[in-house]
Amino acid sequence: MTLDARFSIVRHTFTLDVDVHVAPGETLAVLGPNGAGKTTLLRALAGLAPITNGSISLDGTVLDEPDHSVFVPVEKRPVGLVFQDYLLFPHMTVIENVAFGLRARGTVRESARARAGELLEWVGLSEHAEKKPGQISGGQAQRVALARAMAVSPRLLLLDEPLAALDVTTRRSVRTDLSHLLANVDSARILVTHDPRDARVLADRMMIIENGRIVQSGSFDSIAANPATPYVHELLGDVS
Amino acid sequence: MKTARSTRRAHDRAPWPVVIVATLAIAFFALPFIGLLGRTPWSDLFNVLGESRVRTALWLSIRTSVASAIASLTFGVPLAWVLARGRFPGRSAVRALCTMSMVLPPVVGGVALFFSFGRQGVFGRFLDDWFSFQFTFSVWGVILAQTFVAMPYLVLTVEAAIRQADARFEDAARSLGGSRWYVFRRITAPAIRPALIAGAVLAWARALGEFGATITFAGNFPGTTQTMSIATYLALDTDAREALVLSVVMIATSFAVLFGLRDRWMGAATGMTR
Repeated sequence: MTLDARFSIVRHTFTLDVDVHVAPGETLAVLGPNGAGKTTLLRALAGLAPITNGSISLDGTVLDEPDHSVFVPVEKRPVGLVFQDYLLFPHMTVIENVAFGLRARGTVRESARARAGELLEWVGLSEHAEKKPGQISGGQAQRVALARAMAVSPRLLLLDEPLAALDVTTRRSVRTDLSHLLANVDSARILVTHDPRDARVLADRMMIIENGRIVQSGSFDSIAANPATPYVHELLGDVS
Repeated sequence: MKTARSTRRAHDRAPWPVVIVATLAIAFFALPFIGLLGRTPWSDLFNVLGESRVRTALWLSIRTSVASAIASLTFGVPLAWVLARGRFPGRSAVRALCTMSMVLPPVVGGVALFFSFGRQGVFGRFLDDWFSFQFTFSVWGVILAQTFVAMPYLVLTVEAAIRQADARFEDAARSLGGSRWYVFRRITAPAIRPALIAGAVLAWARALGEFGATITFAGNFPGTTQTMSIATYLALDTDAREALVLSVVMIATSFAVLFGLRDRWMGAATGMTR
């Protein structure tokens, strides 16, 4: 019924060692300085980078556990990804992008497009269905990326800096839109960001990592009230 | 029409010694063709092209070069993928091996093919014993020799495109449930399409011009193995007009290919970056 991950992953000289638990319908924000291991965490959970020790399980199913030689590859995991720069496939229309996951899993074209149409309606982009990704704005691209990830009903949704590519002037309204959309998503969610405002608006809980280790976790207010490291203090100082 | 302003901004005038030497270099490439075109019997062009010997060689070259281009695509694209994305020891050595025929004298390639796939060759004798099949002196030999020399052009073009393509698009596609093969077909292949076209056309053009490996391995039989290049070479001794006309056909083809690819060849493979 939830994500249970306790693992370490060694990449070159860097080690990430974390303990992450997220319930369905809950959003955990992961914050940390550049190079702290945020993206590595997402790649490990998604199955793009195998872990070195420990285990990752979702709803009781083990996805990665090197000690028992279990590794479920990325395409078999019920995990959705929204990338920082969205990575919409440039040669496909918006609706084809959203339908991609269903088509890849063998759904026939018509039903895949019908489902993709519903998702585009959900994110309010029905009228842009036949456009190419190059013809829509960054905020719209982000919603397409969310719809595309949700099309395959993932039980864990991973969002990697979903607002970082946006203009400062639009970031705020897109953040609000995103929080409304995520409220309808019943999968467990992890949001990686370096902006504490994202965490405050979008997440239920926060976890802060530095140098591959968790330095603090809890609610926004509790962390802001009692920052554990100079970085956390600096990070939350001007927001609360 | 360019405005005076854009012309003024766009041109950085080169130093005059550079201009002079560059002009000499251009002349070096242009003069042989001017000489050849000057001697070409233009009024007889179509008569000579209509002669059965020439027509036979032309038709054979078209068929075998297209077959070689298709063979290069079929085998070269997977090879390029493995070279670009595979992680195995000795990858550089494998790449060197598979592209060596680009720099090797084609005659040497022909000799190598002769002693391996020839009728008495190390592997060729089994083909003869078991299937009564032989490459030498047959159309298949021509295609084999041409593919041997032409495929590296496709492999290098496509490999570069796959390397430059953003692999994170493939990550995104796989995270949506796409198998590796599905992702290759729907994401990678469309992204490298310009390189696939450029590579196939380059391989085709190289196959069309292949001479050394073909004559060494497949021989020189009109209608079966006497391609345009071979016919041109032989015609020099008997009928220079034929040699000139065949040369003009090949020059026109090569120029058209390179001119048509001028953007795609070099600037290919920007497909995936938005």
